[in-house]
Amino acid sequence: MTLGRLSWFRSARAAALVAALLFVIAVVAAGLRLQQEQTLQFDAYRSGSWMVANAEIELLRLEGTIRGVQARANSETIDHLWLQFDIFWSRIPLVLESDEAKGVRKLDGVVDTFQRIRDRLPDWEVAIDRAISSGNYFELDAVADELDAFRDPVHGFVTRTLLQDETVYRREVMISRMRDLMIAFGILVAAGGLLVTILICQLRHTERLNRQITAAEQQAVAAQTRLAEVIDSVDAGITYVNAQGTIEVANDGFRRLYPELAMLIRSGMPLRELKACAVNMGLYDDGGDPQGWINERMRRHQDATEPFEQRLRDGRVMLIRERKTADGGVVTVRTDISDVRRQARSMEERLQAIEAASDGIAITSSNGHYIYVSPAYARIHGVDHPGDMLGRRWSDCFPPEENRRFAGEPMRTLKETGLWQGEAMGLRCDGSLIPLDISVRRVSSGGYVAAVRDLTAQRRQQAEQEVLKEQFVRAQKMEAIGRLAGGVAHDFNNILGAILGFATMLAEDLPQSSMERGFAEQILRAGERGKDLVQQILAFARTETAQREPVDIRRLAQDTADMLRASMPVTTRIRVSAPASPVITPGNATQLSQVLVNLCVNASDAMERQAGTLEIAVSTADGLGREGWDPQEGDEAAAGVMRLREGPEEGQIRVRLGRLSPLRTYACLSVRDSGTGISRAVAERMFDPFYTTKDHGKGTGLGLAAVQGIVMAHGGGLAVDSQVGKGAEFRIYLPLAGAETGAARGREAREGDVSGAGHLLVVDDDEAVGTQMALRLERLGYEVLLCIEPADAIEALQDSPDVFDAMLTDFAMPSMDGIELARQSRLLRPDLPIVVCTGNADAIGADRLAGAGVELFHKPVDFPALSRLLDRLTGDARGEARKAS
Amino acid sequence: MFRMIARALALLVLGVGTAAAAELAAPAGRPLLTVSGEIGVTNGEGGARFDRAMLEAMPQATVQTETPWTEGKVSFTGVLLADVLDAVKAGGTGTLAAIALNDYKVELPASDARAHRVLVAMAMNGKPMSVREKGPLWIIYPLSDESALQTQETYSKMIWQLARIEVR
Repeated sequence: MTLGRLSWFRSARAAALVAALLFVIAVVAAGLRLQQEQTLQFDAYRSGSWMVANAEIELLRLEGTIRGVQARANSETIDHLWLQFDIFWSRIPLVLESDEAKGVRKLDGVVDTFQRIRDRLPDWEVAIDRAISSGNYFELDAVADELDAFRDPVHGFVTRTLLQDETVYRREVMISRMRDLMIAFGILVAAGGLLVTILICQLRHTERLNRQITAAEQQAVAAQTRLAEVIDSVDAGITYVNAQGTIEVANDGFRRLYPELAMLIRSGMPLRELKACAVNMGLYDDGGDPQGWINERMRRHQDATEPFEQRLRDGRVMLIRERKTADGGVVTVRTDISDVRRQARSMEERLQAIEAASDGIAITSSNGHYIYVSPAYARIHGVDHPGDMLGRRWSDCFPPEENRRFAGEPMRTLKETGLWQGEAMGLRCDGSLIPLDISVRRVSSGGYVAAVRDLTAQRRQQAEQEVLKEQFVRAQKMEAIGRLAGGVAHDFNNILGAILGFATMLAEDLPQSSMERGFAEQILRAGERGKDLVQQILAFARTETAQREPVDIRRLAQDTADMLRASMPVTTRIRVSAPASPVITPGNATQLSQVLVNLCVNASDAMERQAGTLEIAVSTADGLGREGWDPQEGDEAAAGVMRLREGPEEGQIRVRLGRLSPLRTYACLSVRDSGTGISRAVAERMFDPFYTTKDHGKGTGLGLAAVQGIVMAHGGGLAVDSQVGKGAEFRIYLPLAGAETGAARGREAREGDVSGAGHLLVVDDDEAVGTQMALRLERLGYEVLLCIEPADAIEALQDSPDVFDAMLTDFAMPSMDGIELARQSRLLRPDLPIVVCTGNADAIGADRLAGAGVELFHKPVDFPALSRLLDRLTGDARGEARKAS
Repeated sequence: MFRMIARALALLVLGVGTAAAAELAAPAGRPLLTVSGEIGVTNGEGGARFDRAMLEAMPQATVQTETPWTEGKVSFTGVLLADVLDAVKAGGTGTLAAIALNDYKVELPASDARAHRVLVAMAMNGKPMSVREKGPLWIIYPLSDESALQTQETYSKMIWQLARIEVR
């Protein structure tokens, strides 16, 4: 098509050029020809022809006048001759010179002939004059003959010029015609030139158009090729199905997506046929109804409205978008979205993981506003709904001082490395602060992703670990001291037992007023003090297995106060306040009394013999959260280690020890003084053993250590509130035991009237202790067999197993300890009640004790208590024996 | 018809005028120009004859022009035709027949004498013209002054060797 138009155009252009050339040549030729014609016409113009004719007439007339003179010579004819001669003369120069005769002069012979006439005129004048003056008129013949000789040539000129007379006399017409011709020619030239110019312009325009069209066609072809390449290069499968339902275009993407159909598909193939092939090949999950599937698919194709997803048998998922074209066809774009689906699922899972994470995760835009906040992040900042935080600035979630810090090194690091990790205090929505571990990473969008961890629990755990560590160190120290002191105290206890035992017997046996009896009583008192000291040591060394009885704290306080009033300086006033009803706690009365005495002695010392009041108060209290144990302190105190806090006022300290249950009710024993108070430095160490502020020799440094040990062993708590210069208050919390109230009362009723009966087997490797014990028991009414060696005891049991009602044995013995003895004794006499006495119950392993089935009893021995225990044991045994019999 | 009657009446009147024509002095020398026909003044039988002296006595006029028969611009001197016609009290229907020495005759409208400075020339470049030089009298139209006159018709009216004028 293009080539045809080009060749046509080329031939048209050549024809136009040839025409233009011909036109120019014709115009030039015609112009030249016209000019020649004009010249010719002007040249042929014989304006002077009548002059020649006139000259001929005058010549004839001159001849006539000559003949007239010859015929009759008179003045008239002669005058006429001369006039005629002059007239003839006047005609000659006109022919030869005048402008009008220019044309006629061009006739051959005119100039020559007339020049000869002019040359002859003077001669003729002379000849005429001579003939007339001589009267010989025949001489005129010569002139006449000469004139006659010119007649024919002149007449010839006239004849020749007559042919052009018509033209000669219509010169204007001729010029006018020529002018018209020239104008017409000019118009023709102009019109022709215009036409040729228009034609050439048109041709050039056409040529330009042609070039543009050609270029456009080439571009269109190139664009079509490119488009085809583009369509082929996309991953999506693209088909175009025309209005008749046949496939016109299927790109390479389609063939890649459906390799099974690649060989099959061809332009002009009906879509339905292709679908049928695909279904037959099993490409789609047609649900067992291939025809129905095809119909449904064709219906969708014709509707071409909503994009839809299509699942292939091989598991791939295609997104199919169909759109109607203007000509009624349908363009279908198939995209393999299997990966997208998988990624979406994966993304969903990741998001769920992020949402479920305990660490808070947030994403901010480049200008610092939250665009995503995980539930944990919101929770950490005290916000219920993550959505409430969206759009807020991240800096709002931190206190101003942290924001100032962030502006420095963290922001710099973040800018340089794209990552920052560190700890900071976050701001919760309620205004409280929260320790956070933060990791921020810059993301490609210019925003940031932050992962935040709440460090509260970690911090607490660290604190607890610190406490545990401290506790461990302290426990080790205490254990070492306890072990040492316990060992010493045990031996010392045995010595004291002997001293006190024999001193008691002396005091009982010696006469009432004798000096010796006084000495014995002195020994007894010293021994009691020694016993107290041993008790202190053992208490501090955690005598957990000390005997427990229901103790009325009211009475304890009253008794101790009465005792102390005697020994306290007179300046110290002791006041006791207690509720009306008993406050009973299961415990060791001796130990608890010791606690109170220790506290009161300290209080008294703190008042440094100045006037002051020592208040002892007994009350009941709910433990945690009521009497100074706030939740946090409670938690910390739970570790069993002293917690010390200062404030709120200058010099004020608060100390908490032990774990109290918020569910239990406690007996509270308070000792308050108005003394110097406790400085922080002292408070830190006051429970350490052997630490004392008192003068050398006055304090053992064991008082508060023992208090702590006893209170802790009773499962209680200890609180100290003090302010320097204003005194101190020690409060002891002990678990209340309402159920034991009756027993306590029973015990009280039987006090003071103790007696026993039955056979006892007493074993102690220390002879003095054993003898003393045997004597005391005999005094109480028992029959006693004392064995120094455990083996003797075994022997005695073998000899007469049923004689003994109970066995009483020391624990620590070189050859065999009390538990082993008990075990062997049980082999001989399974139902024998056995009491193991020891000064250091801790030395016995709990497991051994549990399996032994023995009763423990503490040294130094409280004989009335021992008697009561023995009564119970033997009574039970007797009861059982009765049942057995 | 009316126009013919009017013309006849006019001729009648002129005829009366001729009878009462004033006298013109007879020429002393050989007459150069004879005016005849419908004129009011005569000085002899057949019309009014003018010799050179009489013509030279009339107001002289000069026309400078080129002609097809002379070379370059030529100065012609003579009497205006209008003055000649006035001198003879010319009447008639306005046609003048100019006749040369050889009896060559052309007709020219009398109105030309009024419309143009038509000269009856006696001298060319100051010199009297002989018969051999197309003299003694030559009717000259001012061709160079009025280009409209440069036509063959005007050229034919420029008669030389003028001898007589008949006023008709």
